Amino acid sequence: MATVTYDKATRVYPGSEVASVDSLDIAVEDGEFLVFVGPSGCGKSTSLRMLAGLEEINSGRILIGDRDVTNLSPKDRDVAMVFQNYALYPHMSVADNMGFALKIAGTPKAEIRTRVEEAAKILDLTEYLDRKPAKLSGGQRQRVAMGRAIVRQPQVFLMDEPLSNLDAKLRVQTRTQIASLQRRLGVTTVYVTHDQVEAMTMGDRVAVLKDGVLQQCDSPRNMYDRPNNVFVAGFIGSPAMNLLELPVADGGVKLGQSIYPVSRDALSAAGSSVTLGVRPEDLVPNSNGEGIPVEVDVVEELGADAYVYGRTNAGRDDDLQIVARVDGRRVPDKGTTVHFTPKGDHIHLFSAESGERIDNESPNTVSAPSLQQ
Amino acid sequence: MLFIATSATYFPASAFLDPRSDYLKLRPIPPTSSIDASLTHAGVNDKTSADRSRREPACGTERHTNSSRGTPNMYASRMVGMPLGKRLNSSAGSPSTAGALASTPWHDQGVALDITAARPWPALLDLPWRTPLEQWPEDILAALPRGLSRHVVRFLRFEGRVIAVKEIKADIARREYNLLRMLRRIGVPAVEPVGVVAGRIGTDGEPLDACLLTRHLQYSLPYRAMLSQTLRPDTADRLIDALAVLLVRLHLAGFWWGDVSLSNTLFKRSAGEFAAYLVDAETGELHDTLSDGQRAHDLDIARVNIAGELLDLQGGGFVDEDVDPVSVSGQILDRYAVLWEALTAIERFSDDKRWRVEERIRGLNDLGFDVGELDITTDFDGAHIQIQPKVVDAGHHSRRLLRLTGVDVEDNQARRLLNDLDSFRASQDRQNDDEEQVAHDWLTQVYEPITRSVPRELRGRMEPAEIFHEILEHRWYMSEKAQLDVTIESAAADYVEHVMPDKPDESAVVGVDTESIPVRAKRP
Repeated sequence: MATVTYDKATRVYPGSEVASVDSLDIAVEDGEFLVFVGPSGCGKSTSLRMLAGLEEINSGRILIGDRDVTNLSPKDRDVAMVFQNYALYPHMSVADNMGFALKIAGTPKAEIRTRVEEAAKILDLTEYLDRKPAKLSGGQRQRVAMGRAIVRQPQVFLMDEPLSNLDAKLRVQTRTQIASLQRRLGVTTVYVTHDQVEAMTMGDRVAVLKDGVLQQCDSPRNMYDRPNNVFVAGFIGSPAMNLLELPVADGGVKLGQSIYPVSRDALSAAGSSVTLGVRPEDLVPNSNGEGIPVEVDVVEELGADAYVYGRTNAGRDDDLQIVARVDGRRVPDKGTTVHFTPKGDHIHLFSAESGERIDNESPNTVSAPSLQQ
Repeated sequence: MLFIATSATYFPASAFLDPRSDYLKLRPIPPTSSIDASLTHAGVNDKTSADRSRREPACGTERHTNSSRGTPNMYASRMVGMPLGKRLNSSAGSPSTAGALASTPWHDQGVALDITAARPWPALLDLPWRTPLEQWPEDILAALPRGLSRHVVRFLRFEGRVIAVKEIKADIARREYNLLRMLRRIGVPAVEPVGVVAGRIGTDGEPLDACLLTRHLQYSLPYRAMLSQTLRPDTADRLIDALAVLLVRLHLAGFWWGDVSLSNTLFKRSAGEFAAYLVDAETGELHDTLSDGQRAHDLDIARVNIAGELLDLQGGGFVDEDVDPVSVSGQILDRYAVLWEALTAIERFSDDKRWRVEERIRGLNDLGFDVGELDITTDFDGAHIQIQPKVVDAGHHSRRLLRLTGVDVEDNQARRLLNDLDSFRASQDRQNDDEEQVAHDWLTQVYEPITRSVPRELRGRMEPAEIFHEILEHRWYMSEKAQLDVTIESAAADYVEHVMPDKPDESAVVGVDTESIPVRAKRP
């Protein structure tokens, strides 16, 4: 077990002018579950492969513990790619299936047996060690496969989209299993996925990448509540956060007929307009006609909740798209206009120019700002 | 009247009443999957997977004649998006044996299949696609023993061919299909992809995984068959040699395999050696070039997998206890390293040793490679020369034989045939004759009569070039025993009478069917 440090690690593919991974700086703690997530081509797989030793590092370095592994070959790094390729061998016992790779590495027989028994205990396979895999249930076979990686006792587990082959239902089950197993083993794990739900549910911390640049590395909670920029705000969460570019008015941001109060410091950083972000669940229907008027286009009913898809001009000349979550038992009709007000402290402000987050927490602002008519 | 009135109402209505228009007007437009789900739920979904695939780029493929190096014969077709009624019609005229086997034919249910195929093959539609692959009727299958695998794989006898069918998610199937096509296009020995069947719905209405279809390579042998059938102790070594050559070729082409193993490879006999073909490209990736780390990782995977496969065979009692799986699997590292070094190393020597350039090229030819591009640089003072092969192509001997005779065979078989051609030339004292002319005479006077002298019923057991090689071997044994030169004609006659009848038919030996380890493919 060990820490993993990306120290300005950069990968530029030959013939390309742009870095696929640009000066990545992340310190993964010992025993931590870190998830790289982002759209395709963002550099998440490349980042993992740089750690695995499959991609060259053009500048910067990567450390595992205190050891600089930048120029080491994959097998000298003491990392294990999990789930990439496993096969269960029908004529070998469960114990042999789990431990045979250690034989190749020259591990003494007694130690192989000890490690296999330890792994079997964690995986609830002790009583099956002498059986053949064909005699096991699906879930047990799956755990045998995991056991093959565990007995190697690597410093770091690496997983590159391990669930992409599974159907939706099995993906959810396996996701939970991997996460709980990782916590029991306490082995530092770096995981790659394109699915932000997978990232948010599994990771201790999530690292969002875009165009090879780290956007934010944070706990799922912070990632959701305090996105660093417009990209993270839009990427994390489903349906996505509503992002409205709105004019700045005196004392705040113009939201329909209302002014959403913003501190003077924040406003001075904003310029003439600002991007206001509010998640669908943070919009509350307002029966007094205050807030943002939304013309309802469609309602997607999910039972307990419903999503309202609509349009608003919210103080602008053109229409903006809005998604709001409402009580599934009180859904508005299509074609009607409903007013929504954002829950006071769940508003995000971003610079319209740079997309960076603007902090709106200065003493000048009331802690839970309400809209002024 | 009634008909006209109904039609007159229906057609304008169907044109204007688009159930998806309500959703498409929305901003943001809900995801297609969400719209589809809502429409399906309401029973008004006008689109199917076949419609979706119509928007994908058309997939053509190249079809090689019986060689991976032959002139590509480019033609393509795509059987997608056709309404089922129509597709069924296209195959209605041809009676099919498989069609009768599907207990509930999918076409009765109005389900839309999405078939991407390398060429039109209407009879594919008659296979029981509504049934999970694990439950396909045994009488259309070609192999019965079952092994464990990540996915269900079954072999099928179909219109005189053997087809391997793998049940796998649609996007992964399409990706592998395209990768296999690409590999064949760049001349890497790989199985021929036949098609992808997606959009399958089971008889219970639940969606089933897609199927990737590949054509079984004729005269190829899976390692299990080879190791449990042959008595030569070095068979495992020769399989590893062949796999090492394949891996080097794949790596030179920029292909990272990700799951190198004996089970993912098929082997063809090649005059006492084996030629390896890639069968499973599911985990593979095609890059411009591979890093040392990627190559090392592939080798590491290869070593572990090979050891596991041999240990498993030993566990099942198929391989002798004397074989040490750990040391045999370690050979892949050595064989690979030697070959990689020979093909790519930089060599530096003084200017007065220019013959070493020629020597390097000959050495590569002996290994079966042609040098397409050689990098030659000199020092500032010109005292030293540095050379490094930049482009090497496998198949040196088979290309030469093909050019001379039109016979297209594995490289080592070609080497063997070329040696016989050389002896023919010497024995006829025609060293100064045109090479093509001598080759033509050898073909018509020796090779063809000998291979045709094998009775028709035995001919299919091995490829002609392999039969010819066997007869040459047999002649050597006969000559040694008799202590005089035996003619090839009498050697052939003796071989056909005494040896050939005991040879197994290897025209369509297929691997082990598999039952899935339901980690990836099967629903709980």
